[in-house]
Amino acid sequence: MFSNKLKIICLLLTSFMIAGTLSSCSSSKSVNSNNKKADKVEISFWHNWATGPAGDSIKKSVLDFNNSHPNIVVKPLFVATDGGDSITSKLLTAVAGGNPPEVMLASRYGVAEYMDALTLVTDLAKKDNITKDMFYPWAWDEASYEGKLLGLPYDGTSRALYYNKDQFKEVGLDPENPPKTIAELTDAAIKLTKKDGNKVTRFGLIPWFGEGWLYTWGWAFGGEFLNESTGQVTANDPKIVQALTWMTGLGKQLGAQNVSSFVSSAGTNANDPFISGQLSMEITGNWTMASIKQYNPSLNYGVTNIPTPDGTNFNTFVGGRVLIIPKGIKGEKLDAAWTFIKWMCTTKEGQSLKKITGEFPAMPSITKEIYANDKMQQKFIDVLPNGKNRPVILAGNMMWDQLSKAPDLIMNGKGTPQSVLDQITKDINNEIAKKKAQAK
Amino acid sequence: MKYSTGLVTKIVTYTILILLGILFLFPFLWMFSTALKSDHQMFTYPPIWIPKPMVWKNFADAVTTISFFTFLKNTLIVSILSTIGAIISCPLVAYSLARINWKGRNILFIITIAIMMIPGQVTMVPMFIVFTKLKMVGTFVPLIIPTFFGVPFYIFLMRQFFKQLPKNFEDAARIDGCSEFQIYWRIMLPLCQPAILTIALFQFMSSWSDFLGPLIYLNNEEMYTLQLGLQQFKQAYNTQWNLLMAASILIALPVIILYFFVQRSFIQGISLGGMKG
Amino acid sequence: MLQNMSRDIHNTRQKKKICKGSIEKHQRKYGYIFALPWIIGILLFYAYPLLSSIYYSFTNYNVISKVSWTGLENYEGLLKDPVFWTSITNTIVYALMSVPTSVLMGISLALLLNIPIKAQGIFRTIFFLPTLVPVVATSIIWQWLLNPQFGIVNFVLSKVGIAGPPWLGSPYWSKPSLVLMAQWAIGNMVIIYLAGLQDISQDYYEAADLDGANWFQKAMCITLPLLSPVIFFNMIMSIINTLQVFTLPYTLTYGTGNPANSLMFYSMYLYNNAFAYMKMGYASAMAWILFIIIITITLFVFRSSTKWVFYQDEN
Repeated sequence: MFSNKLKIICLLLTSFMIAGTLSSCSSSKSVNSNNKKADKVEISFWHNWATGPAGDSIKKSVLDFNNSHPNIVVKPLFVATDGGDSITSKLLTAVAGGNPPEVMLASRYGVAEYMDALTLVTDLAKKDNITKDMFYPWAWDEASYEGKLLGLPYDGTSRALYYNKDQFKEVGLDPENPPKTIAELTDAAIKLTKKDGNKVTRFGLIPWFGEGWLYTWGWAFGGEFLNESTGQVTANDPKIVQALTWMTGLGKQLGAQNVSSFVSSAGTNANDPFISGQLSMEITGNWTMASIKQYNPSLNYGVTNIPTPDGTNFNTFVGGRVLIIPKGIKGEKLDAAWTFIKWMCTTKEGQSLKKITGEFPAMPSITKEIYANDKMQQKFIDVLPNGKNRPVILAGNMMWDQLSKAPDLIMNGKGTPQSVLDQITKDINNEIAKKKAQAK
Repeated sequence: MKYSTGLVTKIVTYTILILLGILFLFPFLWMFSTALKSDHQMFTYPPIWIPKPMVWKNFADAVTTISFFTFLKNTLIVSILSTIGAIISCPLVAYSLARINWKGRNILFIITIAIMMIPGQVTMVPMFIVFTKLKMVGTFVPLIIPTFFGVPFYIFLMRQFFKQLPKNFEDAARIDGCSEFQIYWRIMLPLCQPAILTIALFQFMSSWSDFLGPLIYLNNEEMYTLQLGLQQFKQAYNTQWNLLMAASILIALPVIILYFFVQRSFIQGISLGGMKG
Repeated sequence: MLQNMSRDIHNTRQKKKICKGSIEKHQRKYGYIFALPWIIGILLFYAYPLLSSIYYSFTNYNVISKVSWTGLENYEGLLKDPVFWTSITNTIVYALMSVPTSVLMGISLALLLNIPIKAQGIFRTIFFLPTLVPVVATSIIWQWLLNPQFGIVNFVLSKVGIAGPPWLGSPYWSKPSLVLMAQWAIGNMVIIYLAGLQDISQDYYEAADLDGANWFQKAMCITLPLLSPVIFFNMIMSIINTLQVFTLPYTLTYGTGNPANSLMFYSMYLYNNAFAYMKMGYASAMAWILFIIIITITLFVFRSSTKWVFYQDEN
């Protein structure tokens, strides 16, 4: 009897010991490394790019910085995204638990919502003479909320209309003269769509596919999503309603059911139908050029600015990232973190590394310099100064979710562009008011 | 005595299993096909089923692009240890809930099931705080130790298995003066071998495929598990699907082997028939 | 001599009675001791998270800021929230579709895989394989297969003369598509049934053979009743899991629940509220409402289980 009990106890103890040893192994490693580099300040840097050009750019950035700053050691850590694009759930749990990283790379969009988890850098920037005019306007704006700077803007992405030159030729359109007005775009989309009985075998354009968010078209049509002076969201701006009407109208014209089903299973980059030739035109970002090179280098395509109703005043939807310092970082760690993000975002050395990923530095001077000889990128860069960023509000993520679902709702008969946008405007403004009241 | 099947039964069984089997294998074959594709053949239309050439190198690339073997080692440690924890604690607790009459066992049973009804998303943060206070964040401990105390799912499962056994099975042994523990160890456990193997398999699989746990508790890339590593194939705007599929297949292999051996013990006929005395 | 014998027998009987009394006391002590690890586990790992999430449901907790009490505001807000109602409806409809299908399919497949045939091991492994595919891969594979325009499934259907439905592109077909994907991963349930089938003694079948029973009678009168504790388990777990369905639809729709919110399930909306919209208090309220729903349904199934679940230790 005892031997059995003993066996169990022994097994339990051994397991506990193994587990304990392994876990203490990892923590002792960090203790040792702390002792060795006692005179160097170590800061951890969370990002979500491990492989590919983006991963390379992170590695090189950290290497270059560490080499040029012997008193600071930046330790990068890859953090997997959960769900969409963000690593906020890990950040939030870390802040709640009291052990956040010193620096984190995050999407600029939506940062205002977890503002309370950050160390604001307004004063630090002022002290070091870092001002708005060093950056593209959208970069600074999207990283600010009510006069407070939430982090330093790091980079930017730009979007344009890609079109398949061979298919243009096929239907009699001039491949060197792509559409500039919405009317020309509509015309081209219809001409390029091919049907086989009831099934569509090639779509000319699916307005909301790729980066054709309502934001993109809303701005192209000249609308604004936020009234800066009142802080009220204006998703039902007449020009935005116009944009949505056009989007869904064209979708229906090309066959509503087919369009919804085409989009739903295409995913993001997986099976990008533009690359495989099933979609003749697509609104997408400058990063797609690298994808095309990788997956279908023989594709004969061109790039042009996103058409507007009258063919002038081109703009684009700009996204990008920001480097933030979470709350609770103090003393020499704070200094080190600030030095690092300053280097990444405001120096030539740090910003030039964006060339590795083919994205744009947040600083116009560096962008122009590193892409001076790149013809393909020019269309994207030309329109950057006129780029539009998403409104910085306390219900940013919710607004994004609802707006991106709007075309789908209308295509499935659950409302009209006006009614859907009215509802969204009301809901988001209510939400913002609630959050403001709670913050008091 | 083996239960013999008639010929008709055999034919019908084979037919259904083969047809269904093909359907079930289908997506897996697509996965395999993608794993062998070169970048150029990934997004073509019509889709290519048999890639020419078959890029077997993708499998090699998959394990070199990310620190595959480090992640494998970590995942093995976490999975094996947490499985040991589960098979030590859960049958014990389940036996108590199923075969011993004591006050409060029904309440405990209800609480056990009730715990499974709360979505993990809201207990995630407080649980993280508990482990932070215990200074265990950044180690494997939060991923392993909890199973040593019991896992509601397996406790429930084992309880059902124990209840499948005939009534008063162990009373004779009790009257003879055996201790509860002896009854548990010598009689009940051997009878529930299939069940115990099942929960071992499940816990292993659960740890093997756990994403959220390693995500929030591990802060050192050297300690990452395979599921976190798999996410590294996602680049900023691009995912390397061929490498990801190749890695997924490799990751699945150890569990497939484990399963094959576990299910071998599920052979009808080798059971408690003779244990009734 | 006879007197001694009867005295002995009487004494033994007394001893047995005494033994029984102390056996029961003994049992109670051991019952508690054996369950102790779990009791400690509950107190250590679950008590604080569960209690604090109840507390947070009455506040405006967002994980990082100061917490202030808001009373029933979250609960009231939920009742007025159209997405909340949409997500409940979606989740219940999905559960109604998925649970019976899974139970039927699982049992049938397990019975088939229990029949001794040569390649049994290989077949069992084939049906188990899908559960090993990571979700990120599963969602992309099914998106490709079910693509209404270019996917293989509709292609094959068209060869047989059926016009394939829009699957994930239609709000009416999206949930059935998800049920289909869930069946593909039914291997887990099947293992449990297989393990359960092992504990059914051969003696019963042999007796039935002698009585001339056919396979249907054997299944209905022996297998299913004796398997019922395990069927019960799978049914309860299936209910709990489908009502909490999250990972696959979230990955499939990138968190949007498209088309037309038809795949916006309860846990997805909960997650968005917790981590994207910074409304953990609101999400906690959602969690406890879900708890009440699940426990109500489960209690109902438990009650009904006395009629059809047959525990051998409780005749």
